[in-house]
Amino acid sequence: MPKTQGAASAPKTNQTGEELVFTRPASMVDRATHYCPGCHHGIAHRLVGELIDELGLKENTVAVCSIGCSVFLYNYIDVDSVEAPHGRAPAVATGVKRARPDKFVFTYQGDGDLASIGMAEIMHAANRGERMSVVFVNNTVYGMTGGQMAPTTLIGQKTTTCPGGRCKDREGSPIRMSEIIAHLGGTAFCARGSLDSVKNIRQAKKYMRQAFEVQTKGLGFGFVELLAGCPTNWRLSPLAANKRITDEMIPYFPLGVFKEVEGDGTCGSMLAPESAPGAEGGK
Amino acid sequence: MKEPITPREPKKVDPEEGAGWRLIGAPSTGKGKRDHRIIKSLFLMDGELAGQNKKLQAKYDAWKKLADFETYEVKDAELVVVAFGSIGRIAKNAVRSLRAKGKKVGLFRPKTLYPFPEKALEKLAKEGKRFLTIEHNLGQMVEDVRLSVRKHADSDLFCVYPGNMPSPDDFEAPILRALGRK
Ligand SMILES: Cc1ncc(C[n+]2csc(CCOP(=O)(O)OP(=O)(O)O)c2C)c(N)n1
Ligand code: SF4
Ligand SMILES: [Mg+2]
Repeated sequence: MPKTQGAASAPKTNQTGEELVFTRPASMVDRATHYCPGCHHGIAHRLVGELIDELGLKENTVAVCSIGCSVFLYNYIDVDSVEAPHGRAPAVATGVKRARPDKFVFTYQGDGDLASIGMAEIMHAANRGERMSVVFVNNTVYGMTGGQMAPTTLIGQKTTTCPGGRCKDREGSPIRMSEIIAHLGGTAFCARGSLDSVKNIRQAKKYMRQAFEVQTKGLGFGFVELLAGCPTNWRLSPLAANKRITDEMIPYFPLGVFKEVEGDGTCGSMLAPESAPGAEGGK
Repeated sequence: MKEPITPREPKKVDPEEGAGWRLIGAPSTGKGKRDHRIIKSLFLMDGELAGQNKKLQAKYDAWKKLADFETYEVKDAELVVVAFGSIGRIAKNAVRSLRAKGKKVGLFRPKTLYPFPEKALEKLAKEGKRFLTIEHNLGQMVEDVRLSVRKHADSDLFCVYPGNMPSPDDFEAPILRALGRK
């Protein structure tokens, strides 16, 4: 018999007596999504909700939402939340965590937010080893504003601001954030997962759990990047968007753990992900 | 140049010290049970956004009483020089030396540009005074001056290119020119 997923307190049957095998996590709000069909923010939100339930953090959490399509995370997640200015979520989270070190504090940021306007904030928060967890949703575009080029946009990828495709000589190479964050002194856990398949989603959740737990254990800064689809701005069907992640994003943004600090809080060694390409990588 | 400051004890803005909005985790059971709180500035829903704008407008209206200014020798002045910041100080010296020569000139120096002391300027305009705005740019505050006095008067404008630091002497000729222009 399948186990009920999600909320521990959820009823096992519905009004008509059917057995419920899948319900909403207790720390999520019951409301219709505003995200586009096939958008992966919904999956990432759900993983956050499941983990907050499983780790028993609901009543002790302050979420720091960022600017991008997912600013509305606070409408879906049933925890105290604050909206940070564009890119500044790690700075706001630093304030929250330092004021209340007993709280579980996480940011949820897009690639435009974190790797572009917010590059300074994320680097210094990681370097300082702020006891916070970061969920970084990389969909290679500025989704909310209509699909402009982001620092993560792949070479050759067409966006509204690079209609001929991103060119390495003109716009530089796509930035691999996990690789950068892993090198900073305060990072206790850093990994990249993907939301393109059930198998990868399960693995991504494990990474997220670790990124959350390095905070609850007081080890340091926890970072997890999630490769995600934006079918609307990629001008692809949801299925084709998933395939693009598998075929084009993962080869450039390898999945795996980039850093894991041992339990005593001293910095562990850098782990090379199995699928890491050569130094240049990409196309 | 800096404004002198008057230190004061900050007022307690929130007597409840955040009891109604503080983010410390939302208990879902027990005595402290409450809905989750959201601190945000983004209001995209139709009525919600208009409501937020109304609130902001009320705040800006409340600010108007904070408008502050200094006047110097305006009582019997025929021409009032309007200048702010460093240029306000330099213009004050120019007015002082012209007064010593018996010229009926005064100074109106806004200490706040936003909110702009529009009522005080309008009052001077009603009294029949004329105006010369002097600025260290190519004419920005003059728009506020002209809007404030528009029902009764206009304002001449003398600009100093940013990058040049004028002395009080540099202002005497333009002030006399404006004073002579009826
Ligand atoms: C200071 C500031 N600059 C620019 C914007 C406009 N803006 C809103 S969302 C966004 C990009 C969001 O992209 P990303 O973080 O990748 O989130 P996504 O929507 O793709 O999930 C930008 C530039 C803003 N809101 N604030
Ligand atoms: S624009 Fe992209 S990121 Fe935003 S909701 Fe739609 S699919 Fe998701
Ligand atoms: Mg994005």
